[in-house]
Amino acid sequence: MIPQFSRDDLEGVFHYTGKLIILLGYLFLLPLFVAIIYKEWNPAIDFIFSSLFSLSLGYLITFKFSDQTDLNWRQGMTIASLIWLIYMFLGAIPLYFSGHYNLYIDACFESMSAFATTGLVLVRDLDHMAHSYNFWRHFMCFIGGQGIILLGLLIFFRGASAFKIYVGEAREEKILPNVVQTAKFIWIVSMCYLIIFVLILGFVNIFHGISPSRAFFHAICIFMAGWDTAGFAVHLQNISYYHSGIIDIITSLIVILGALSFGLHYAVWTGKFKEIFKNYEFKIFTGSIILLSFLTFLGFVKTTGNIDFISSFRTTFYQVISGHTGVGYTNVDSYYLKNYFPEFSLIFLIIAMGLGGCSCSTSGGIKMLRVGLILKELKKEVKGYSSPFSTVIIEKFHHIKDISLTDAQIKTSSIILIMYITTYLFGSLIGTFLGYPFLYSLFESTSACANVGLSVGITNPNMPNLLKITYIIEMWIGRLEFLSIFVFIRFLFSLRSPE
Amino acid sequence: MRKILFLLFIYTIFLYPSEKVKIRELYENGEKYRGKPVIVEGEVIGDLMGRKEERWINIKDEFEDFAIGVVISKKDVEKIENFGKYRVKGDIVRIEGIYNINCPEHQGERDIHALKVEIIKKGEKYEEKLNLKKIILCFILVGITLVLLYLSHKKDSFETEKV
Repeated sequence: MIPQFSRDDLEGVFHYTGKLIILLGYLFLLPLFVAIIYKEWNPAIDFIFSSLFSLSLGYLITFKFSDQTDLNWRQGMTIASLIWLIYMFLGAIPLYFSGHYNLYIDACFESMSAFATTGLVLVRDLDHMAHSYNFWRHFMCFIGGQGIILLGLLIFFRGASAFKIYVGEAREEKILPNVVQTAKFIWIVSMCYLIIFVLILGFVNIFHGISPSRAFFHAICIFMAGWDTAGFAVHLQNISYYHSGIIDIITSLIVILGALSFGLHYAVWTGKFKEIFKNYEFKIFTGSIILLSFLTFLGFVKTTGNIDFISSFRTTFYQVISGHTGVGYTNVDSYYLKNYFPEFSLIFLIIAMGLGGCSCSTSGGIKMLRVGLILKELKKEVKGYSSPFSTVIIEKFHHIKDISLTDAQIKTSSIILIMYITTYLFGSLIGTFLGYPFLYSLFESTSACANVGLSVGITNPNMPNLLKITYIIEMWIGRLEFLSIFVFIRFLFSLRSPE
Repeated sequence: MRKILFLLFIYTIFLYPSEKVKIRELYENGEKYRGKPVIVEGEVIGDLMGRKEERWINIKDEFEDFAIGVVISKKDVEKIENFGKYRVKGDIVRIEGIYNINCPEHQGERDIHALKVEIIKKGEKYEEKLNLKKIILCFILVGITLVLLYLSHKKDSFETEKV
């Protein structure tokens, strides 16, 4: 039997949740700063309100519930799950006040989509949105992609508590011996890429004729949503707003870098360039992108034979990159995906979205390392059946270091794989129940659960509330990779009768 | 390029009358209008973008969330004064042009190559009114936050002393 949460456990959970809410209160100061720069006074008031509300809520909780010693595993997992829901509700406040959302649930949907780095949107009239609100949408992507807990690790989680809460946010790899150092490294890498790509994108935007202040505003937003594989954009048309092949190439590069494991980034940053060619996950990821792009392209060309090669390649390759990395940026529109991508191509796009990027990256989905491990196990099984009975077969792979394949790794990977596929199907069943065609429902459900953001048009402000809630849950579950959610459910039951 | 545009213009005006459509219709039933002359009306939004001799604008339906890119000439750009954004209502334009779902000139973009651009309503800048109720609420929250902050710190220092 799984042990019940004790009163001390609950105290610890609420205390640290309160601290993370205080952190959000301070994070609201950044969009407030943007509002002041652009002289957007009503949005400024909204951010002041959101900040004060979060701070008072956070201080109230920390006052009521005392600090305790180190967190245990179940507390760490519960905090990780709970805080994502609370951030969704609080992050939605300024969005709802902006007047760009029909209902508060729509703002919550957008907020969860941003924090979970999904990229599905329910915003209305985005093109007239204030810079500060738009900045907040993208900044939420950045916070969520980097990890809410990861940010907390830099500030107030220390000692044994740190690793327990770090794992709760679907991160297992310790790039450096200490998770706090790992968190620092992830933030340093991200900030370095931010400076590089904001400069590149900013100057490309200026070259395209956009005024410097807006060019760099676009650049910051596009980088934050791209690097953290969220896929939000400043305008309704997403990346097709720019009508530029160069922007397509730069954003592709950003999202591929974002979808790579931070372990691989660390290896390259420390001069181990050979790791790129040796890394098993990277090889599987590259191979999968090439294969799925080719198959999607093949189906597309067969159906729409009169389109030239460059156009077909640009259209299909960008969607596969976007789907596979989990960013959800698109240089076409949902109607185009629905009307011109044949079912054959949509199936491979769904597979790309479902598989996702690399482990310990900002992308969602099953993750390539797990897929690779299952393929290795399959190879091992085939070898076993075709070898003499007494032969002991050991499979190895290289991921930062040489690792022997173990049953425990296979078990974990298989469970996660099954859970993802079940959730993709569950969401598509709800969609089908509400009257949408199965393939489109599967597409949208996979996009939500794998935190991608590509859409065939089901996601819009007029979709049924049941589907909005389904996708919110899928985005949340998909981002945290199930385990901490199950512990959180146990926590909810404990609230009724703590031991 | 000019000759082609001229021929397209002749073709449009005399041989194939343009059909007035909503931007939504170009997305939902795009195939019906592929490669044909169309007339669309919408608000100019965002930024003017330009590469070489051509200029890009994006126009959005006034009442619905549908927008499309339009390639216009440098001369037509001068007619547009307001680009829609926060606190700015963009000019409402009537575009007569050729609709492409996979434009061969622009690597498969969905766009309209404008032949005629007409401003039908000038855009305008507007001011936002401050929401007094929210300001009062913020002042109340400042008080509550400060009290809670004080209590929280007091509790922390008490616990530290106890340890």
